[in-house]
This record gives sequence, structure tokens and C-alpha cells, in this order.
Amino acid sequence: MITLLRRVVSSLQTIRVRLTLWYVALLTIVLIPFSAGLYIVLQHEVTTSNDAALHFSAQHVIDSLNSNGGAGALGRAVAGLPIGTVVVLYNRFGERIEASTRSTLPQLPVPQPPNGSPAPIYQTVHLSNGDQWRVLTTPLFLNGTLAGLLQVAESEAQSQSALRELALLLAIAVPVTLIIASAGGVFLAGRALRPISKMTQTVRTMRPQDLSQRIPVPATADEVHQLAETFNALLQRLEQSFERERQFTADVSHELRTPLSILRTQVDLALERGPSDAGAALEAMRTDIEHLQRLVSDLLLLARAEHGEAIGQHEPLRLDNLITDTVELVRD
Amino acid sequence: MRMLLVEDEQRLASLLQQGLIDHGYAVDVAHDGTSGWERIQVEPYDVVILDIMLPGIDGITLCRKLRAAGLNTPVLMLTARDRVRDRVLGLDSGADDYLTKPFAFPELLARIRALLRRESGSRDPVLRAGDVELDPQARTARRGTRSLELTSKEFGILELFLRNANRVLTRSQIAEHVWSDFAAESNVIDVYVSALRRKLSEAGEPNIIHTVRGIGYQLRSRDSP
Repeated sequence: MITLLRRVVSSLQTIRVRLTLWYVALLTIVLIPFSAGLYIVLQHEVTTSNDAALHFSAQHVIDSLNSNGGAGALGRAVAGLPIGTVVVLYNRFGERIEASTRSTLPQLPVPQPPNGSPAPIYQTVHLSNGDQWRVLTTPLFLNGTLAGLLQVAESEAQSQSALRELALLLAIAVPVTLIIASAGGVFLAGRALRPISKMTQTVRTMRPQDLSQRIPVPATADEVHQLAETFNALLQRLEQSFERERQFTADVSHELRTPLSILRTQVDLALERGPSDAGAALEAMRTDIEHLQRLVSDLLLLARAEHGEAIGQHEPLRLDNLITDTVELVRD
Repeated sequence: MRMLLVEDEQRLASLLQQGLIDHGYAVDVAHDGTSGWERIQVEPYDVVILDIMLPGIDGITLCRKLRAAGLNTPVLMLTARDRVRDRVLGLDSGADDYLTKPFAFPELLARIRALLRRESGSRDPVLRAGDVELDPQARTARRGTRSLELTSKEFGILELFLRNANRVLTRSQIAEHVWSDFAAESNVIDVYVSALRRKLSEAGEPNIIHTVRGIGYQLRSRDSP
């Protein structure tokens, strides 16, 4: 369990997983507001178009009543309306006079008695049986005088169910999209990072003794190509520096061998010849050791210079003296 | 035995020359490859000790030239280069042995003796002819049970005779192998040989170094090849 957790945590640290997580998070941030917005806009559209339809129905009834009143006038006016539209007439005191009989009458809200010139009111009514209706209550003017109120209502069951279906669709589609997208993200990130993991493999197999290996540079001129080239340039510099170091060490050991040989031979011969010869041999050996000391401090200076440490300061010098000294040194 | 030391480091060269002379060898020194090559062509050296990094002709090239010229003188390479491929290169250029600096002087002597042994045909480190024995390492010589008190030159002449038993050696051959830069009258050789002869027969033993009239001397021994 702990190892599994550790593996999950360590996999979270890989670029592949992190890229995918970012990708999915961004997609979530985009998809959820988009879905919510789509739902809200559509809902608004549905209401607006329903209201427009109610308005037209009311106008039609009012026009019809204005043109030919009398008994059965409402029935005739309602005939041209869409099926399911309920029309109720109220008198000036808010009392119901007549209702269209084309469908069962739902329990609509009782309007306030009109006074002055009331504006049309749009209402959404939830009935006890769970149905939802949209109701337009508008003043009814017959031949220019306020005769009462007209209520036109339509069930919103169909549009509501359409909206519910849309919501359900979005609720399923968004997570499914996210799952597919994350799988695709893992795949794409893996594909994009494959040259890098190849590079990692190559570098991992390199031994510090052998820096002649190079990372294969992909033919495409992309970031991975740049990385490979940068890496190879670094390797080249490292190799050169290692080579210089190795050469320096070889030179040092070579330079030290000759005075050491002299010293060693001196000792071997002195041991063979016995104590009578020892004084002169020791004298000669001291000279050799002094020479060796100079050599070692020179080499140390060189090593410091190789590592870029500041050595001494610049000062003017006579070239002829330097040459004479050097010639003498070599002649010795 | 006479040898050429080709070494550009003058201090080391003179020390080695001194040490080798202490051990009875006649030693010539060359400080660069070119003069070394000139001397090798002229003088009949028994051993050549060769440094690799030399001014003029380097040791490897010098060794190749020497072998190409048909000279079979044993060559010991003496160098500061100790990598395997350097040693391989040195030996493949025709050298018989390879010693890296810094080395122990007794080891150098032992390697020189081994090279001389290879040349003489007998692997026995002690040289023998009849009842005469010479140990180059201990620098002692005996006839029977009697040990011989020899000077350095007498020792060198006896060693030369023993390495070339039953072979006639001219006076100049003796001079070339025992003296370095020999420029004396040839009767010096006769003086040394007769002194050696006297010491060998001091207790009445038969003479083994015979004069070959008009040519030189010969050590005759029945059990030596």
C-alpha cells in the first residue's frame, strides 16, 4: 500500500503525468463553464420563445374578440391557437368569466383585479401535480375600453424535458470527454517525451572513463534537437577537459620520473659503494632533491593555472635576462 | 662486456655509466639518437641501453634501424613511459627487454646479465669452462676450489673468454669488448692476458688460454661448446 502510494507520488513528479494533469485541468476549466453557459442560454431561449408564442396567442384572441364578440366568441378565437394553449377570461373585477374548453383547465393563479392600464405579466407556475406552466396575464381592451383580463397559458413540460435531457447529456459527455482527453494527454506527452527518455537511457549507459559517446541528434529542428546538441557540446567540452587532465597527469608523472630515477640510482650506487662514498652521494642527492622540489612547486603552479586560479601578478621584465637564465637552466 | 648507453639526461647517464663501470662493464654514452646510431654502426657492443625519448632519432626508430641493419645486439629499453601500449611498441620495435624509470639499479644489472646469458646460449647464470667458474652477479671467479683475485679488466677478459669458449678472439675484439674508447698500444692486451694466465695457473694447473699465432687468443675447454 505504501509502495503503491510512493509509486503514485513519484509518478506525479514525472513531466508526463504533470503535463496530462495540467491538460485535463485546463480542459475542465473550459468545459464546465461552457456546458453551464450553454444550458443557461438555451433555457433563456426556450423561455423567450415560449413567451413570444404566448404573446402572439393573446394578441390573436384579443383581435378575434374585438372583431366579433358575442356568445361562443372565445371558442372561435381559441380555434386558431396551438393545441394545449389554455385561455381564461376575467372581468374587470378579477372574476373568472370563461375558459377555453379544449383541454383540462389547470389551476392557474388568480390575477389581481386590473386598475388603470396594467402591463402584461409573464409568470411561471408550478402546479401541485408537478407540471410547470408559463402564464401570460394581459389586460383585455375591447373597442378601446378595459373590459377585463386575459390569461393565456402553455405547459412547459416539453421544453423542460428537453432541457433536462440536455443537462443529462452534458453531465455524461463532460466526464467522458475528460477521461478520453486525459488518456490522449498521457499518450501525447509520452510521445513528445520519448526522445528525451531515449537521451536519458544513452546518458545513463555512459561511463565516466569513456566520454567519446554522443547522444543521437534527431533530424527535426525542434527543442529536443536543441537539447541533444547542447548536451553533445557539453560532452565534448567535458571530454576535452578530461583529456587535458589526463595528459597533464601523464606529463607530471613523466617529468617526475627522471629526477626520481637519478635519485634512486644515486641511492643504489651509494649502498653498493659503502660508507666511504656516502658523503659525496648525499651531497649530490640533496641537489637532486632541491631540483625535484622546484619541479613539484612548478607543477603545482601549473595545476593552479589550469584550474583558472589567479597566479601572481603581472610585472615588466627584461627579456634578455629571462633568455639568459633559461639557457643557463637548460645547460645545467 | 661493452655496452652503449643512449640517454639524454646527462646526470642520469653519468651516474649509470659510473655504476656500470663499477660492475666491470665498459660503457660508452651517447646523449642523442643520432650519435648513438653512429656508434652502434661502428662499435661491436654486447648490450645497448636505450632511452625512448631522445633528441635526434628517438629510441623506437633507432631500435628499428638497428634491427633493419641486421644487428642482433641485445637492446634494453629504459624509459619513463610505462603504459602497456608503450611497452608493447618498444618490444615490437625489436627491443629485448623494457625497464621503466624509476628503476632499481640492481634490477638493471640483473636484466643486463640475463640479456648476456641469452646471447651466450647457456642459461646458467654462472659461466663455466672445465674447472674455471665465473659468477657475473657475485663478481667472483674460481679455478677448482681456489678463488681467483682478479682486477676489473682481468675479470672482464676472463668473462669474454668464457662467453666465447673455444672461439679465437683477436686482440682488437678483446679490446673492443672490455675497454671503452680503447686507444692504447695492442700489447696492453698481451700484458693483461698473460697476467690472467698466470693467476689461472698459479697452483700448477694446466694453461687454458692459448695463443693463436698471428690472430689472438683462444680459451680451450673440452666440456664447453
